[in-house]
Amino acid sequence: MGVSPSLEIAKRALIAQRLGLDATSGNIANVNTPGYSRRAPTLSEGEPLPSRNGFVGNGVLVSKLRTFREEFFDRQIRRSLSHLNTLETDETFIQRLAVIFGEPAENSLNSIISDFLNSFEDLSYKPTDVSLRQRTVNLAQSLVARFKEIAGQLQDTRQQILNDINDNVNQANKLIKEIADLNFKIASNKSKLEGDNQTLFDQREAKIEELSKLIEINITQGDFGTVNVFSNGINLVTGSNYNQLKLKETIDPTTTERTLSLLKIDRNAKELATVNLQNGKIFSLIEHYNITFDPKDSSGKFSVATTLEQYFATLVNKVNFFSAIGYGLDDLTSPPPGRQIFTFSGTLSIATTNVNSEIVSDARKLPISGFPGENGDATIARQISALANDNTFLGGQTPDEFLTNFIGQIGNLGDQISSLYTVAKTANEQLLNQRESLIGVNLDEEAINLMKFQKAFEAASRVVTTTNDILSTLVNLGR
Amino acid sequence: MRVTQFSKYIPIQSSIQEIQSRKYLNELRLATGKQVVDITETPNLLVQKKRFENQISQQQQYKKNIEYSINFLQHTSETLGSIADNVQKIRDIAVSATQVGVAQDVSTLGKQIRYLLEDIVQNLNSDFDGQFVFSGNLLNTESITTPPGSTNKLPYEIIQETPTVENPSGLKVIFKGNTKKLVVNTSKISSEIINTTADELFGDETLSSLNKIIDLYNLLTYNKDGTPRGEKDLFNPDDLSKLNNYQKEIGKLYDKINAANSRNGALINRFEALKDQSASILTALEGYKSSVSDADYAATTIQLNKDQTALQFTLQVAARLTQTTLFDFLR
Repeated sequence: MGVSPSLEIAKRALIAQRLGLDATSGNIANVNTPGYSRRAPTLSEGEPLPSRNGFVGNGVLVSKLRTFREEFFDRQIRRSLSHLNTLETDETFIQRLAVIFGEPAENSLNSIISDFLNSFEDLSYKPTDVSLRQRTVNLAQSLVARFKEIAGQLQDTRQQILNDINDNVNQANKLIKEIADLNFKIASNKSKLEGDNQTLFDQREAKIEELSKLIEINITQGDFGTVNVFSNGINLVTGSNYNQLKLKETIDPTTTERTLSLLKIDRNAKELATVNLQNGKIFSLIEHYNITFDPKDSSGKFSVATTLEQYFATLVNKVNFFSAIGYGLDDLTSPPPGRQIFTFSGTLSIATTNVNSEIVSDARKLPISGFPGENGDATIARQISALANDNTFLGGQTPDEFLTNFIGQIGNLGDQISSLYTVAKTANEQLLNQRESLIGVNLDEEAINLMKFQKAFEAASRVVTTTNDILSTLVNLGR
Repeated sequence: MRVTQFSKYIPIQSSIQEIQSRKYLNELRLATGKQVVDITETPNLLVQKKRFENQISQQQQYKKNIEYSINFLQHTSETLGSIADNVQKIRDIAVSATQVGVAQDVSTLGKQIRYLLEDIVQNLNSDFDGQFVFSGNLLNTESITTPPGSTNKLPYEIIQETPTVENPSGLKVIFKGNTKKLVVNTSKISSEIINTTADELFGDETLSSLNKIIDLYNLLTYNKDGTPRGEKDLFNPDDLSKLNNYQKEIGKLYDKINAANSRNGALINRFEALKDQSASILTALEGYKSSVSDADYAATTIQLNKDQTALQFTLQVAARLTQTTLFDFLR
């Protein structure tokens, strides 16, 4: 056996230690890169060479650069992210509802309705006081204005949700394409060192996690390191092939209710299937668009906008029912003029309703008397004020009880979402931590690795130097 | 467990956010004095607070109704007192008329009765806060219609009709209002009538008992044949009989007015009791509301201090996270 094997062994050692140094450098460089999975060279002893004195070691080999990623944690984190983003989006909109309704401020919708109904109590004992009548008319206008303001803000929010959904669907489509592209690159690079692919794996996992924030997805393994992406059974990515998502708005011909759904389309924009989401930001946004903020929701679920419309319509109908048979100060003969306090054009809704312009221009026309020519009669005023205690007003409750419970329902929903969010966030952090403890970079460890590979590299260099000295000695033997 | 750079930051970051959020809410509670500062924080307290607010608002309205009613009833009482006084004076004049011997004095007494009757009618036309008190639910001049002979739009009026043998002066008190009730709610489930109507005071809307004063006036001012009573036209036995009769009728009218005023007084007492009761209910409701909606300063301050301390230590830990690694010791 000659001297040259030592040089070969030293060369391999230099390569191996250099690779170790490169991996360590990469780890240190990516210490703050989200989703980065640390790398470490897998070293193995070379096949020993036979010699007259037995088998002699053949140095070190780098079989691959290994990573520590585990599918179990990735899968759990994806699920957790979908759930977390659903709740995070829900929480945002509940907070927005609190702002829209001005809760828990003192001057809320309840107080405006109480003031309006109480003003009829004042009129019940001073029905001829035109300034009091004017005050009631002003309160009716304030009431309508407040409802319109709330309904307008709900509508604005709904419009904003639609924009958000469009943005997020575009983002999801971009991610779907990127995942398919990465699948293609991974499959193409399969023949190369697995370590090279690992960056692509990390990048793809980061994209998958981003996608799982938007829609709930399931991942299955494909050929050549590729993955297939499904959302509630609908295949979105298969290898390098992918389908895009499209938002579709349908309008009910009877109720004109606008409903959004998410569809899978092909490259020619042909609709292939409906993606029924159960989790993720887009799911939450669609739910809020279709239910929470939809003023014509027919799902039977808790819709803030629909409930508000129902409440308003009930109030208007009941007040109008009484006022239609009432007489104003100058209505001296039967039959009653049929002058309702609220008027609306077309279908009764918050947007179409206003205080009767006749009454606005002349408060004397406020129909609070039950008999013509009897200006001191306040039968109608008392009937309207009694609505405050009418426990059949809506849902077997008085107007205030209903509204209070309605606000309470929003609060309870928010409280429930907030609790679930806290739990989901904690669970997500635990999963991230567990995965981090496996794949994350520890700078102390890397410092040790750096020293370890540096020393080994120095030693291997020394072997080269020593071997070189020996060879020089041998070469100079004959001189 | 293997600790990495990221895993050090995740819980610290989360803890800082959580403590800051708690701290912010407690700071808000102390700044506003309100316990319920977030719709989702304590929804049950929010619901309770709103219920109390509504009850308070309603109770305040009932208290306002009661206070208005008390003022209305007190005005009614004072007016009825004045009317009763005038009726009593007329009654006294009727008594004194039986004792005078000079006709001129009788005629003077008649004039006094006329003035007193005008005062009574003026009192009956009195208004409270712009609304007639004794005209049923026709509360102002706009709702009063004027029958033939009437010259104003007040509910009570002494009109001049064609003199007759029965009514040589031709005077008559007429009523243009109605006898409907004014009702005020005193609670969710109860209401009270607060006005005194013409039929309660004078038996009917024709004011027959009030017009007895006109009869008395006629007796004192005119002879049996309708001519004005002269100096020598003294009372005959028939006149005296009538005078006694009118005196009795006016006595009955006085009793009726006093009875109405007594009922009114009893109503004032009831309303005063309702007002006290309403004030007590309001105080209690304000207390309940405060207990659920106002911040507990002691508890909140303690909690805020705890949060402050927790945040301080968490921030210190966070600051140490970036301090040293093995690299700092490799020179």
